[in-house]
Amino acid sequence: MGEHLILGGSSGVYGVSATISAFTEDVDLLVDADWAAAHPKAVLTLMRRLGFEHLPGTPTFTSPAGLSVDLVGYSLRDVADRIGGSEALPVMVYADLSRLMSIQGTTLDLPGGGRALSPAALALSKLLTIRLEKGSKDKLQALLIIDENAEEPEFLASLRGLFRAYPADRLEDAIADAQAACLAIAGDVALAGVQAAGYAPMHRAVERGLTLFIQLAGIEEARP
Amino acid sequence: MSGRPRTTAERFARLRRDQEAYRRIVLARRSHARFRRDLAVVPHVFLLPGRALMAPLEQPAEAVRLALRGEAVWTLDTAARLVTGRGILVSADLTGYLTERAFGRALADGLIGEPWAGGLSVTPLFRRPLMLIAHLTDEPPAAITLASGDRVVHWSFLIRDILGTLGWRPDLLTRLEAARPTYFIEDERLAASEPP
Repeated sequence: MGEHLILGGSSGVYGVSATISAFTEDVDLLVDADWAAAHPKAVLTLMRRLGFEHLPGTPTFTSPAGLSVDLVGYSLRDVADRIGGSEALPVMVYADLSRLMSIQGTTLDLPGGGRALSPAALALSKLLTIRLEKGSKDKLQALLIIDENAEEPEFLASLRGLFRAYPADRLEDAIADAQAACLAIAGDVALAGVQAAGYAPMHRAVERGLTLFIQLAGIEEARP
Repeated sequence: MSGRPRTTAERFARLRRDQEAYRRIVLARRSHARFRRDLAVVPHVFLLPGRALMAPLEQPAEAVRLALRGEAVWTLDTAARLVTGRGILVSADLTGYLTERAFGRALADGLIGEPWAGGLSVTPLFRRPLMLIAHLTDEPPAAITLASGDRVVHWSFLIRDILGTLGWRPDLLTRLEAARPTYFIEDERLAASEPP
């Protein structure tokens, strides 16, 4: 199924960076929900053969070793949040992800086989993710990816191009969210003290990532 | 709370819940006229551990400020008081950028006591003595020299420091901006147009 599954979510960080933390070990695999709807048995059979148990009613597979794999849906025929897939294998279809996956060049081939979201696509998907409980984590990962690729013209051009595919107000909200995430980590830096010195360089990277994000999004600093 | 993974239907319900809550957050943010303008601000962490120190004042605040005039670049509450005549924080600590040498001299001259090991905050939850809260650096941010001789950070940097210390406070920023004197705006325009 390699050609149909794309490493994404926080596990997508494994595909684009050797230094940024994915934070959790569960794996998100992006899948065309319409393809999954047409081939539920094939997916379930293959996953079972690989040693994964499907949890009914969920898009989740677990292995005896404790690895958890979630299928995350997108669609190339519409841009809407909905439940897709099939009764046997229902998957969430995300509008933002569907829009992203309809754009050329948003995935890359991994050296060891399989595909992952490109760094720019992963950064954008994380900037736009709306989650009340874990929202800051997504923004921090996005800003770290932006900082890590700040010297890559191809990345910068790609990210700028992706920004143009989304309404300006979504980007404004994403910037405000990123600022808030930056503040959240600033709070951690302030409270962590010298014992957690690793926070300081991470915070600087987040700050640089935010600065670049604001520049790429075309937000100008207001003069006094 | 169950440890089982959420069903797809539960995930969809959760997404809808989050989107609705987020919509309210977005509306609240956008109800402030300065929302778009402040998007350009990258928060600056004034209270950065390893850089920021806090020591109790051993002399009246006015005397300490005068003694450090020309050396400190004041920010946050102290800058607000100097520029607008009104502070933004209840605890009227002296908050500014200093070199390590200047901080050491303040200590040696008896202006301040030994730095405290903990409790670094500009908004203490308990009553404590007035403090000198210094961000130690050999490269302080660009400053505007007031008629009094005190140096304060540029307005844009003050906004960065406020965001990085207190979070986005549109009410406070708007009030502060309204109190900003014209001469300060003019001085800052001049300073911004000068070559580095």
